[in-house]
Amino acid sequence: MPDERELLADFLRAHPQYNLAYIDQSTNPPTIHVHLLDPERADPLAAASSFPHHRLRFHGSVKIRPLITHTIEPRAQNVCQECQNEPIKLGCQVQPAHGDWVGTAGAPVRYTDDAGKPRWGFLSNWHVLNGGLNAPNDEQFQPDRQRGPIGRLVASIAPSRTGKNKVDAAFACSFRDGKHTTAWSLLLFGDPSTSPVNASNGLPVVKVGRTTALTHGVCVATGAAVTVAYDGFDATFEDQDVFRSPAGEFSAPGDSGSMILAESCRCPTALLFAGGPDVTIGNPIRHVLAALNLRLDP
Amino acid sequence: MPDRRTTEALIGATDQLFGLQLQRPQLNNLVCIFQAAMAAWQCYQATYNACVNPAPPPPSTGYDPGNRPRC
Repeated sequence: MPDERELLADFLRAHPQYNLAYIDQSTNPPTIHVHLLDPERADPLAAASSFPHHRLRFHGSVKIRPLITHTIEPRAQNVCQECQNEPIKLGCQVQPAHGDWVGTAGAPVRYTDDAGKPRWGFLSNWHVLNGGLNAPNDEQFQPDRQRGPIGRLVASIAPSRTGKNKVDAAFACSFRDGKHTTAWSLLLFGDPSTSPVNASNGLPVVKVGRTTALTHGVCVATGAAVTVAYDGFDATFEDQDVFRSPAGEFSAPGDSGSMILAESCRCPTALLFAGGPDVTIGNPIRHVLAALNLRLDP
Repeated sequence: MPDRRTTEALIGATDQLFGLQLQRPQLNNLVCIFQAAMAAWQCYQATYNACVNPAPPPPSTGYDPGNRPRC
């Protein structure tokens, strides 16, 4: 029998006028918060019949997109957009060889392939390092193609248009000419913990990304379902973490691929991959590590 | 690439099959032409493969961050 997280995702797939739904368990009965893409197509009766044991609360339109950007300024706007010397601290700008966009090389990880062979490099999103290009081993440039490559795409998990999704993630190996180009550290932050932690409501978090650099936020929901408007298709994800900033913006286009870390323990928590005005969505890091066979220690 | 004896045997068999009755100088010339053609083909294939399917970098045996300037 599907759990509530799967039911929320099924509900979004069946009702495309909604694109974000999560449950607040602190109320009695629990409250389901539903965000409407198109307020004129609200259908409270359908929602109520899908969740007869919950209170429903509807919210205004939030378009949720992958957070890459095609706008590459000629001069860096912050340190995360600058060219980095080796060993390259992550949270920096990255561009695939065949893509006209930039995103963030988020965090150091170790990958183990099907034959049990380990590789070391960095984590980001499918839509940052791959993006549907037919280039399975695409080189990754930092900060953009004006400078040399820092790694090569090894594995990625693309979102399905119709199926169930939990991650939009990719791994690039940073081994070049006998050495690894990347450090086990983040710009403006330092060394992350090698122990992941699950997000929880109210958890203070931090992230380092290409556009907004170091920002602070708080987890406002876990187990959320979200429909993301990719370029040319929509994909619905289940069991996602939702973050907001108490002041200013937590993320902006170009921050896709950033690692979101619990502030107190510096523990990796989620992989930032989408957002809209005032809301940021992350794949729980436990799903990312499992899906790509990754570890957080070198 | 087949060696000279194998090439001669191949050409000899072809000679018998078609009743060409090749003389030794003609046989020698054919062996040379055949071997040169084979070498050229193998050279072309090696160059093509190097361009289309570049050899992957040698595997790393551990995490070893570099310290090279690139900016």
